[in-house]
Amino acid sequence: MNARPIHVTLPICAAVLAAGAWLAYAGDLIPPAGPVAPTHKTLTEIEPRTAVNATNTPGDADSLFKISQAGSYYLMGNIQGIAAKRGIEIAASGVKVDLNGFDLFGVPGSLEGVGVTVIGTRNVAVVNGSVRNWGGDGVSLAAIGVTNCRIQDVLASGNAGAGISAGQGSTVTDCAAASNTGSGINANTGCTVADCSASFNGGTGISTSTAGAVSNCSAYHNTGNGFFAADGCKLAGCMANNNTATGLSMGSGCTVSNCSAYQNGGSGIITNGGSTVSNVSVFGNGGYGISTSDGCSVSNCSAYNNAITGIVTVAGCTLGGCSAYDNISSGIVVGTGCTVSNCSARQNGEDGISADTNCVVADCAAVENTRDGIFAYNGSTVSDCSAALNTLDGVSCGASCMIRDNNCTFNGNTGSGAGIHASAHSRIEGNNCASADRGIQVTGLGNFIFRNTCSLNTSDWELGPNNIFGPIVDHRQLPSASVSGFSASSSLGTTDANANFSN
Amino acid sequence: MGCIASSNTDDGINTGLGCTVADCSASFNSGSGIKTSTGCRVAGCAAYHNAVDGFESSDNCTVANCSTYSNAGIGISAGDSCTISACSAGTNTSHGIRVGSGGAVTHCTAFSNTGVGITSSAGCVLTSCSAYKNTQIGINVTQGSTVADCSTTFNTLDGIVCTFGCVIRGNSCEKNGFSDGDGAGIHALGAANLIEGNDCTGADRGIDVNSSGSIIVRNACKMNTLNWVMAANNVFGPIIDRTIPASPAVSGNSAPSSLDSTDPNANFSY
Repeated sequence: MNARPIHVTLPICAAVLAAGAWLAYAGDLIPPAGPVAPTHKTLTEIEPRTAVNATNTPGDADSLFKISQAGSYYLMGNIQGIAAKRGIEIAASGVKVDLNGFDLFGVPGSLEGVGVTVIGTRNVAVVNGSVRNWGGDGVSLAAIGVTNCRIQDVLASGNAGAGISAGQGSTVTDCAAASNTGSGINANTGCTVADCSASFNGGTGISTSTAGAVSNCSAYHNTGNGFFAADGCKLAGCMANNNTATGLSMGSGCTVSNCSAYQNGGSGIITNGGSTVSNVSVFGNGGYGISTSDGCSVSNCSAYNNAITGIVTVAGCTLGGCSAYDNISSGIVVGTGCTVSNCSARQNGEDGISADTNCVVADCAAVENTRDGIFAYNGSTVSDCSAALNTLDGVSCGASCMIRDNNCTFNGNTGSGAGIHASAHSRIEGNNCASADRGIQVTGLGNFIFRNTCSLNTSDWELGPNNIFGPIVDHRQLPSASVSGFSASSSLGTTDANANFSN
Repeated sequence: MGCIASSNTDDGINTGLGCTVADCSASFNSGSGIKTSTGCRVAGCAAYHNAVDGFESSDNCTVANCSTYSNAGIGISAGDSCTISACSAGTNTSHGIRVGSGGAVTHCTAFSNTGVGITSSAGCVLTSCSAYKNTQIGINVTQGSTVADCSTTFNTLDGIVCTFGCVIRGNSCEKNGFSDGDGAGIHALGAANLIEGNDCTGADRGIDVNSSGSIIVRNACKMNTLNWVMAANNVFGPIIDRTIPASPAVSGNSAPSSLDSTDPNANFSY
């Protein structure tokens, strides 16, 4: 009989190799000198943090648990609040509290869920948990002088105060605050709030004091403003929807960019002086779409279907690249000394663009508005604009204006209007007015009218007495031969360089 | 991008060469709000209540869609070959906007600054700007610059001032020399300027030309204490006095001229 082949060679070899390896791992067969000592990690080394419990962090008269020493702390379970006490009191700097995913649940008459109580406390972090139904703020790191704190991954709801309050120079990130009686998130001076949401709160959704930065946040259905920011703040990438008051309410010297405000009960965006608003959309708000104070810059914004004016500014502002469409009142209204350029205003309930005294309106389009396309008050310049199909006048101006190089067509649409309608002492030059009830209409005296063309109006020229104008040449019936070649004599019917024409 | 600089003991933001600063806010700093080196871009920023300038840019920078308000120095101070567009400079304690040589300023407003509204060095282009209620000159440019399609109103001194070799065209200047000041709508200090198609109203002087060799055509001045003050040896179209126009009303499609001139280069008082 043939011997069976030995099939155990490979396993035996593997076992030998494994034994050899184990022997190598086990160390030297000659032990080191000294007593035998453990080499494993202790529990303390594995979890060096301090558990929040009655032994480590006993409470006192107004707290269930009190942290009085710097260090890192964590919860081991939910905390049920009781009246007249806060959940966790932090009475030292340099404390981190990891809520560890657990829930701090307050009761009526309780204090804050987590609160700092010592003036001047700094470097406190609260992370990773739920804080709800407390009688004060959910998380309050905003006592007097509290600075440089962090609140992250916290859900705060149903608290009788604010959901989250942060002291100066703090950060609040990845948090959600809902249905708190006060504000959702309150941030003191110089804070950063990012990637947070605030909804259904009884006050402002997210509020920041001076020099705060708020980015990528949403504020929805809050009873106050969606966002409130004091002077020198920045809001970027934020959304304010369906808040009862203003969507975004900003102080002076703020920047608002890449935001939207939708169906807020008040205005979409309001800013104080010296702020910039860029790349925002405001839609369906109960007040103005965008409202700014003095000296602001508004660029590349759209205002659609707001209950009052789409975009309104006070003195000395610049508007560029904006559109105002279907707003109940006027599309764009600017105060004294503003510039409006490259904007469009369409189908607004009153004027398309309305400028106060001494403004410059250039390169704009105003179409199908229910009153005037462009109205400019005394001392303003309107140039290189297009005004068409407006119910009343295409361009209407006060005294001492400069109306130059505009194209006004089909105005007086379903109403009675002129292409250009001026009062007194204005300069009206180089415009084209067609297909309105009146081409150029001047009701006052002392206007200077030259080098304009009017055509297909019911009446091309309606000029009051005592104005100064170049000859008005009626070219409607003047025949001229066709031209094919390299030269032809003039068919203008005049050599007067200041002539106006009806054609 | 998207930074806040507030209450710092020096500048709020200070960059090196070729940087972009966008959507930032700089307020209450003890230096300038935003200070940039050569070749930088600043967009969508606000500078408010800083102790020096709001924006301080070196050469070859662009500043766009910014607001500079109530700073203790200049609102926007830019070096040579800079472009400033769609910016607002208001209530600064010095000038509103200042640019160096070869710069461009467009669609900007300068209002209520305690200095000149917009001031530039040689070879600049200023278009479609508004200078309103500044306590000195509205717009001030030096040699070889162009000011076009701007509005200057209620400035305490002159509306527009130029030195020599400038083009001043299509501007509206109203009620300069405001309050207790003394000013002209347009004031040319030097020679060889082209002053064309402007409208000057309600100042101490409408168009005031101190030197010789300028061309003054197709302008209109009205309701100034003196509409025209020009030194000898300038070149100008006829100045037609139409302050009492006495023309009939017009209703229809044709009418004879009431200009009292067929000269295409005529200037008018009306």
